Amino acid sequence: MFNKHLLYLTSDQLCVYRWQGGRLTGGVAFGCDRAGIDDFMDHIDGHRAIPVYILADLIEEDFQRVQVPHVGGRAGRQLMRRRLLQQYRETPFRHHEVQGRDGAGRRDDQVLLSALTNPSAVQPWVEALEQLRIPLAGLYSTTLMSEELVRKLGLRDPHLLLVTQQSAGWRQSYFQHGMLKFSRLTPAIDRDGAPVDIGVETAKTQQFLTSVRVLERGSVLHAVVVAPAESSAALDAQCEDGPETTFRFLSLESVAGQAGLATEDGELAALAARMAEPMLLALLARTAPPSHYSLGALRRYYQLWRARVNLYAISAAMTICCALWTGVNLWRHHQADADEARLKAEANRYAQRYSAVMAAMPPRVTSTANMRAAVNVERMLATQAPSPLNMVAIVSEALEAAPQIHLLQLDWKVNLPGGQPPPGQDDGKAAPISSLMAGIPGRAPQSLLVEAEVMAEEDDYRGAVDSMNQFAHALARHPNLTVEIDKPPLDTRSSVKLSGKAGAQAATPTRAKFSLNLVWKP
Amino acid sequence: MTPNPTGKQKSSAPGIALPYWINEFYLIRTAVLTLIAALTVSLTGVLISELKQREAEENMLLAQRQRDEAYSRYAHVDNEKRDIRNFQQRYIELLARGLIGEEKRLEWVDAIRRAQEQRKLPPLSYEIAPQQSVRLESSLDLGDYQLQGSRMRLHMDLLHEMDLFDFFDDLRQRSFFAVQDCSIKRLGVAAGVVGAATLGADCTLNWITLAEAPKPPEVVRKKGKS
Repeated sequence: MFNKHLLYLTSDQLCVYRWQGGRLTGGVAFGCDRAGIDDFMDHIDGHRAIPVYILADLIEEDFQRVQVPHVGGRAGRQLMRRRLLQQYRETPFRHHEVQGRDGAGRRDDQVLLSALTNPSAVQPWVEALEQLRIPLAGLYSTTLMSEELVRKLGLRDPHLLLVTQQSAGWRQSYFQHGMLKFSRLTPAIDRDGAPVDIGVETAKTQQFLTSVRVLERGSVLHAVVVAPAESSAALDAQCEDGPETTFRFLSLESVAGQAGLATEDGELAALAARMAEPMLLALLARTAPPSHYSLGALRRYYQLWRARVNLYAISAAMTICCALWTGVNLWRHHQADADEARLKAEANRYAQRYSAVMAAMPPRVTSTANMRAAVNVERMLATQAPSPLNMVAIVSEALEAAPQIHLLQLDWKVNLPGGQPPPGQDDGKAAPISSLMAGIPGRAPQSLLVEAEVMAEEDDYRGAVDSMNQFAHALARHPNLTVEIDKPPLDTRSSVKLSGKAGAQAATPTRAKFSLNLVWKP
Repeated sequence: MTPNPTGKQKSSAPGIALPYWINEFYLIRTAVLTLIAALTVSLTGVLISELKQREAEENMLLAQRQRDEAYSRYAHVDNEKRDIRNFQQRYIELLARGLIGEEKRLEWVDAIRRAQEQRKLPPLSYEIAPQQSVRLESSLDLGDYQLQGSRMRLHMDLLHEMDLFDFFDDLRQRSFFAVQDCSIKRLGVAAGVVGAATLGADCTLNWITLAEAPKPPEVVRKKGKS
């Protein structure tokens, strides 16, 4: 699933490599003719489920630096698309890269446009892949990959010329503050069959960069040459530092190690010791950046492949999660069943012990809670339920010491804390019965209105008042009892009218009525 | 002005191209079907196991409650034996006297008539209101019972005030009640009338019973199997 096919495309051949388990293998080359393409199709036909990455190393790769108004969003994307189409009308393989903004004026975007200007070098291979429905992940360029390489190697020179030797020749890429500005590919052998002089080629490139004003006069160009260690002596002789040029050599082996290249011994290892493309392919396989050149509909089999892989991955992940969830549930179910069986056994054991203890007892008529409740209620009713007898007995006892007082009426009632409807009221709506009226849970206060008369001698009102007072005092001696004079025998208040008789016409005994209000509180 | 200056036949509108993933859906069909199958099987497994597990846990909790109840009964068996010894006989008596269960109004009426006859009281009248629940003024453990009360208005004439209290005592032998209010007044009787009532009493009584409390609606527990 994580295997990759890496195709290294040059002007005259296509090499097929395989990235498997972090190692680069293969290296079968196919020519750029019909037979080569057919052989390639036969070779790759058996591996349709492996995505393909094409790394192109072509001379026909153009770079243009342009300034584009800074526009964001969809409008910006459309503007860039139009600009690319305008620049490279004849090829579908275009690329743009915003590298910064101008410091003054409109602050336009500085954009690097590039394209593979000879699409016929790429299209036969891409169409062969499409015909086989092989997922094509992306079309990459060695030049643009060298940006990744510069970042990987940590080269931070403001004016950097990276020189690498590849199968197609020497690739010279100029970076300004880490941004690719220009690249050129020169054959490794000149027209006379002699190896090219890197020092001379570097001087030519520097001259060109200065002439197009990419490199300012007086700026020092730092040339970094990535080459095999054994050829560094020969290269050193060609490359002499000047006032505006410095050379530095990096061994290909160390750079390949940093790029993560691992190969088996053989032809590929020999190639990796001489050329930079295995290292660039390893870097591509490890970083897998987004496609450098737009592929459009040619990339659809890769998108479908990715969807398929994601669907399988989601299915597997979900199945594993749900299987774990189900397993946990089943385990808990098993635990709960075991606990239930244990608890039932315990309950049976306690029930048997209970039955054994209770066997000697008579059968229970109801629950003990019910029995206790009934007996408690009956006790409270018997001992705490209000009755007029107690207060009437107190009045009766006091009357024995006051024979001149004659009872007329007794009104006794239970005083509830919240009040109660007056006795005898029946308006069709039943007043609620409070439990205090039955002495539950305690005794309720009671009141008794005593209406009586004093048999006084003739018009002896003072004697009547004294008799009533003595009677009231006798009642008040009882604990918890308060006595209040509701109506005296003679109303002597200044605010009310007082009438009476005195003299011979009042010889008959006077019946002086009064009433007392007695309140008993528990 | 001709509607079609070019003079050519208007070509039919080109059909809308379907997205590539619809045209070549067959490439991911197996993966989609695998996902659907995995989704169905996995979720069914989770659902069924979840239901089974919940059911098992509910059964376990039920068994836990039953075990706790059984343990509690066994732990309090001495108290229960003592309670049975202390309360059961008294409870049976109260059951017989009508404190527990349905009201025995016929027995109340019979007791009133018998007391009136035995005490040779003047004719009396009464009126018993429909039964109602007694409002508890504080929390009280009544077991499975609730207090019920029936209010009775009583009017009777008396020869002596003690006749009233003797009458109440007679009623208390056979039933349970509490007096709510009582008004006793002296009647104006002509002197020399032998056997005439001298007092009149108007009282309100509440007959008390303990009735089975209505049980709260039982929560029906849904189970997967009976």
